[in-house]
Amino acid sequence: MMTMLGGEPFLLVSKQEQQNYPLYIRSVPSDSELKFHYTVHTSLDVVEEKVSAVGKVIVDQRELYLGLLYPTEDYKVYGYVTNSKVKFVIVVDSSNTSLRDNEIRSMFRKLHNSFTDVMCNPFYNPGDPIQSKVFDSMVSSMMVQTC
Amino acid sequence: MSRQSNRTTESKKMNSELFTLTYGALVTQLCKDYENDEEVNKQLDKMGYNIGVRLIEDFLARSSVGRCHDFRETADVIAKVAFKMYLGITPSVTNWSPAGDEFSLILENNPLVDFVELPDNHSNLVYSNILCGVLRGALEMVQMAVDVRFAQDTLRGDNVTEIRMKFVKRIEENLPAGDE
Amino acid sequence: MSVPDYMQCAEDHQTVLVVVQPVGMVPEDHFFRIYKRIISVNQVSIRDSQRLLYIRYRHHYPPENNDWGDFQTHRKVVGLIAVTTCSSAKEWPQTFDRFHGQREVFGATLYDSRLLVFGLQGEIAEQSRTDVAFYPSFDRCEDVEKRVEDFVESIFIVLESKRLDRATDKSGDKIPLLCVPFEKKDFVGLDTDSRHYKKRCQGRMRKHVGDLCLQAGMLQDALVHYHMAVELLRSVNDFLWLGAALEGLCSASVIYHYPGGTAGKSSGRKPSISQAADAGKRHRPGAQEVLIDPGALTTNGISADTSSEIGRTKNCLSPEDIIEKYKEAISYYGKYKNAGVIELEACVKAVRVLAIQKRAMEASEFLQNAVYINLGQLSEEEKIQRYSILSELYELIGFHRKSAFFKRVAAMQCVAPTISEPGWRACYKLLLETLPGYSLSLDPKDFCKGTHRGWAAVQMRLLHELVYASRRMGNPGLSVRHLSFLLQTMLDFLSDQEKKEVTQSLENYTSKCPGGMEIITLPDGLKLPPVPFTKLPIVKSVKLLNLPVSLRPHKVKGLLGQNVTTKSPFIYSPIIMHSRGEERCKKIDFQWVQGDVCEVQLMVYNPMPFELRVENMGLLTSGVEFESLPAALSLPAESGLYPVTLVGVPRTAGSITVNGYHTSVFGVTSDCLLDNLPGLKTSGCAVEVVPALPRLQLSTSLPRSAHSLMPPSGEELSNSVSVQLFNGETQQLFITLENIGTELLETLEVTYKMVNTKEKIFGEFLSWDLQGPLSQLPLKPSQTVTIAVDIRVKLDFSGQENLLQDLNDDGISITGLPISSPLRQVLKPRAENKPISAEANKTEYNHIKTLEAILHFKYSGGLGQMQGYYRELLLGVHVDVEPSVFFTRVSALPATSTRQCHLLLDVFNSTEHELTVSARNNQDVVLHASECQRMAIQVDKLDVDSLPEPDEETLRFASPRQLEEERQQVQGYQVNSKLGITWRFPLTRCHPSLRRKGEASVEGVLNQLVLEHLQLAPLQWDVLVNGKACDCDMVADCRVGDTVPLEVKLTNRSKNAVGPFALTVVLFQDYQNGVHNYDLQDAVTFIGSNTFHIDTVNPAENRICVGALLFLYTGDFYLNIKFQDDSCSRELPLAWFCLPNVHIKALDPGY
Repeated sequence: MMTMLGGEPFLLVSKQEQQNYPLYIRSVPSDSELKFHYTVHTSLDVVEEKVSAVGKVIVDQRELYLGLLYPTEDYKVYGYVTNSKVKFVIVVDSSNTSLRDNEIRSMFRKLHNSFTDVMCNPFYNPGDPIQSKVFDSMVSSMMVQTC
Repeated sequence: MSRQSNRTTESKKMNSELFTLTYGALVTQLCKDYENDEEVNKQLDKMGYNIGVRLIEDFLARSSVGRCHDFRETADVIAKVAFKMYLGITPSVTNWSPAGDEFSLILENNPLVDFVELPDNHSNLVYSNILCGVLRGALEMVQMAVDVRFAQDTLRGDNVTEIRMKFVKRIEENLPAGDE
Repeated sequence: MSVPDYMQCAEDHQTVLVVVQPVGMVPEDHFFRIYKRIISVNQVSIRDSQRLLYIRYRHHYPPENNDWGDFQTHRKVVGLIAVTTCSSAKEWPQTFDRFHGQREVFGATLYDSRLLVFGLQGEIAEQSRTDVAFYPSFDRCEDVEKRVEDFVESIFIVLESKRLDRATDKSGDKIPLLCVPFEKKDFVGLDTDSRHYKKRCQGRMRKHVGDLCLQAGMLQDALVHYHMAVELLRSVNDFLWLGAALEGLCSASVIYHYPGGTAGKSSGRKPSISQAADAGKRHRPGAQEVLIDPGALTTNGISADTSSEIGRTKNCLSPEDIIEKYKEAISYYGKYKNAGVIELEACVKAVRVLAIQKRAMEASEFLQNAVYINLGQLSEEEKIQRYSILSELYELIGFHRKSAFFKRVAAMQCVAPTISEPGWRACYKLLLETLPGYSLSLDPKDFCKGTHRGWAAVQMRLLHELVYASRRMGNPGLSVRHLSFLLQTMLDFLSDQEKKEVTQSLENYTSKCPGGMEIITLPDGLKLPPVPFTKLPIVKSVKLLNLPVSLRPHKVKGLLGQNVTTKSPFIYSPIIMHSRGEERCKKIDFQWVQGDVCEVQLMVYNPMPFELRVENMGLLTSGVEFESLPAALSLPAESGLYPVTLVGVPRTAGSITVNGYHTSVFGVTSDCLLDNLPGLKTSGCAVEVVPALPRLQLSTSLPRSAHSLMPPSGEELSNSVSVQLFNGETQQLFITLENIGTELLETLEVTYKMVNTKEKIFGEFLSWDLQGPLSQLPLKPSQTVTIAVDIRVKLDFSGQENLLQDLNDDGISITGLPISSPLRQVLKPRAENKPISAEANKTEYNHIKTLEAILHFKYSGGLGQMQGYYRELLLGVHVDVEPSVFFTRVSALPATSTRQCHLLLDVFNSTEHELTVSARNNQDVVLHASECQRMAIQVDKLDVDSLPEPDEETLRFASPRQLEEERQQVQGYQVNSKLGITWRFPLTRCHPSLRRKGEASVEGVLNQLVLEHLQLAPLQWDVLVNGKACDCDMVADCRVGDTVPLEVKLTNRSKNAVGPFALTVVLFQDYQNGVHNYDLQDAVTFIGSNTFHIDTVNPAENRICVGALLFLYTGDFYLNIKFQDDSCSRELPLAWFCLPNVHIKALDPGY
């Protein structure tokens, strides 16, 4: 069970930091989607905190993976942010032990690659919700693997 | 003149993403300006034609390909030399008509459409139509009138991309071809 | 201990707890007035010691929390201030008893107590007691603060004594074991003599002394004690107390590092204190500015070095260590289920410290931990409190979303189903507070531009909750506002089903409470701006429409100045005065008229998946008074763009700006301003309204035209008529103008202009007399005026091809050849004369010519006229002209008189009917259809000089050729009017449509040669025989043998002097057989010379030459007067030398 999304890079759209809005959300099962919305929405606090912390502490600038954002009773929430400040969040069931840091990391990398392709589609307007079939199927295949 | 003599079969390298994005930007801008797929197809063909009539000189200079004896030879030169030179791919030549005046170029991989996904509201757009124009324009400069169109397109869910090319006639007089 | 105090912070550890409570009947407001004054004394500088004592006041404190007082002394109630009223001495004992009772509650821990008695006067009040203060009333208690300070000082004394008592380490004494309530039973029967036990006692006592030191303002001592306690307790694994010792250490360090406090501004200390960077260097407000090291002043300090500078830095934890120790302490607390509250509070304290340190990530971990601390069964209220405080703390560390999340949970808790009386108000209030966390403002303006902000799914949820909560609060107005907001801002995210649901419930709400544009102000001051439905429907463009052509106002030219204001003094400026942004404010170049219906066209789109009914849609304007006439519309689902025309009537003159429109959709009225509409196309929204003008309606006696007249200037006609006439016919057209407006019609001007025609027309096409109609002005509303217009068609059907010159037996004659006949024209279409319309070919084919003209009626009145405006009605007149009779051939023959000549006209009847042609002084000629006959008409020659001269203006500007043409035209007219040729259909033909008559004009067929013949020559020659003028067929008689005087008179009517001339008179006899006999020397003799010499004759002069003849025989003689070849006469036209033939009959003298 997981949810993913890209967040709007607030640097592009507005000076306000609360400009984040979802570009893409997928969850299994889809009936509890609103719950994921809340989970992911609140996790952005941590993402922002971590992103702003990057400036303070000297961290490897090329490290985009933010790691475990926070654990809740039911889920583990992981984050990833591109240098253009697009955020990816993956939520997994906390009982799922097969997914370790490395697996999550590679999932993010795959998402990032696929997202880059979406951005390169001349018919996609940056900032619009993602409706790419290719991206869809990539996410689906990733979700099947992990479940 | 030194430029002319410098032309070789080696070509300068260019980043393919930049190329693809450049073409994509062109097409989407046309879509915005014309708001009509058919019109965009026409414009792309026109642009391609204008490229073709120029590109043929460059092609002949670089490739030192001589006069073709028949249409089959032309097909081979297009597929194996021209496509290779300018797009880095080698389409296969198939589906000859019995009369030998019509054939298909099968593109396994069309570099123009990397990343591209056609939105539902552009179902009539022939995204790579510029290629038809290029072929038509180039062949016209070597006295061949051809009819070029896309028969299949991976963008529209086909397995391969197929460009169908039909020989129309020899252009006897060397009419001065201007920009369309 | 079960009630956590979420407001606690680390520095609270240095306070002493004082409970202030009312005893007996004390009005609440009075109590809190006193309470406020008491708590203002929250820090007291202790005399002599230069130490500060901090006091924490509570008006409620659960006694079970007091039981934890040994664990952390700031939880111990050490002081009690009771407030009571007592009106009489009789009540006093009872009151005092109550005070005692109250004291008992906290008895064990109290250091001291006070009773403030209000209302009691007299004997009892006189007595001076330290523990009781008497005040006559709540208003007269000036020294309350002083009393409290004294009280605090007394507490300090006790505190200090306890500290000293415990601090003196008498190792021999048995140290009691301090414990928390739940431990008590565990220690029953424990070996009190073991080393382990003793250490435990020591450790706990050290910790306790540390607390006391901290409270007594001895920070350094406290640190030392805590450090010792930590060591002792760690060695005996006394985790709960180890935690407390660590927390004490943290608290003391926090106080040292953050003198400003960690609680944030809500419960801040006095700023004068917080300014000090170092806790040890605080100074009292108002005291002398002496920096004193508190350690140096401890008379009974444990050891000197603990107070030194070195010791201070050594013992105090670094900011990082504080957090580490907090973590450790909390992990120890976590081992005890019963210490949940302590753990929770420690978490909260740590979070506040981290917030100050700006270490949000770690703070969030503490908070995360706090979330999971299980406090057992909590009441709903406690839950709400807990979630609220979590929300506040998250806010504190900048986790706005998380904060919003918990606030929302708290809000939901307010109305949990388990609560008997759901607090919808509280819920609503809390929900409102979550808005910023979800990037949601309630101002729709924030959402009208650019991409959507924030997380639509959760925002929508929140809005739904706000709607529901406000409904349950019983405020449908609020529900409507929130629901409107939801619909307006989240429209793109709503599914079709949701759109239906939302609109349905919106309609339900608005049926009770319609939505409007007023700002809703909530009791707490929050303002909910109105939500105009700018997307229901979506307006894509706004265009102000010009008035219909016939109603457009025109400005009289040359009347500049009155009201015309130009922005720039220059006629032309390359600098464009308006910038792009002001485009909307740009004035449009047409005007509206006061009192007339004006239109604005909107292009609208309906984004809803169902039919959208928009009621009461109208314009919002500023500037002049405007009466909007609202419309209702119904738009099919998800479709557009539809044009919608909104109308209204400007009631005053001036400038008007269309700012927007108002709608009523789903029971919500909206005022949509154009400025707030994204992507709107407009070509300007400001327009000038000119003062009222009258309105005329035009009707005519002739049928409306089927032809569409296209005026070249692109004007539109308000009306047009058409009629078919035979050439030469005249038709009257009655035009009735009705004043259908409200203003007086004061001026009326009529002109006409030919359109699209190159036909040569003779005479005025349209003519009228305005005298009558104008005398009826001013015309009141609903009155009418009628104008009669004559339509007169006189065209040349013979064509203007050159009439070929032909000299035939008639002498000089000019023949119009059949080449110019219409039959010939069919074969040879004359492209240059054709109108461009398709019908032209047909008319050509049918030999029909078309005449078109536009009648302009300029009229004005009322205020508009004063400002120089007028209106114009355009009436198109279309006439198809059929040929009637025309002349195929014209020639002139000299008559016998030099002053007359004969015109020979070949008249052709091109109609299909028989008709009669008549001319003045002539017989009627009856012509059958397509018949041609010759008419000969004798006409007097024209006196050229009698013709009007072209005025100077035309002379100056016209080319010689034009002048010549004009001259010809005038002459033609002259000739024509002399001839007066008319045609008519015989009256016997019964069909009334054929009872027609008209003129037949020769003007077109007359050419230069013919005209020359018709002119009187400028040189007038008269020959007189026997004193009698000889002309025509006049025969002069004379007798043989008599001298016959012969005079030749030349009158010069030309403009130049002529002559001299020499004339020779030749006589001959005509034998009437073609033989002329000039050999007449024997028959006639000249007396004198037969040659006349005429000198130069100046204009308007005459000259007479006289000679004489003598006839010798009888007979008929003719005189031929010839000019001798003379150079100067050569230059003049031959026709000028036309002398009459003279016929003289010489008779026998016998008669």
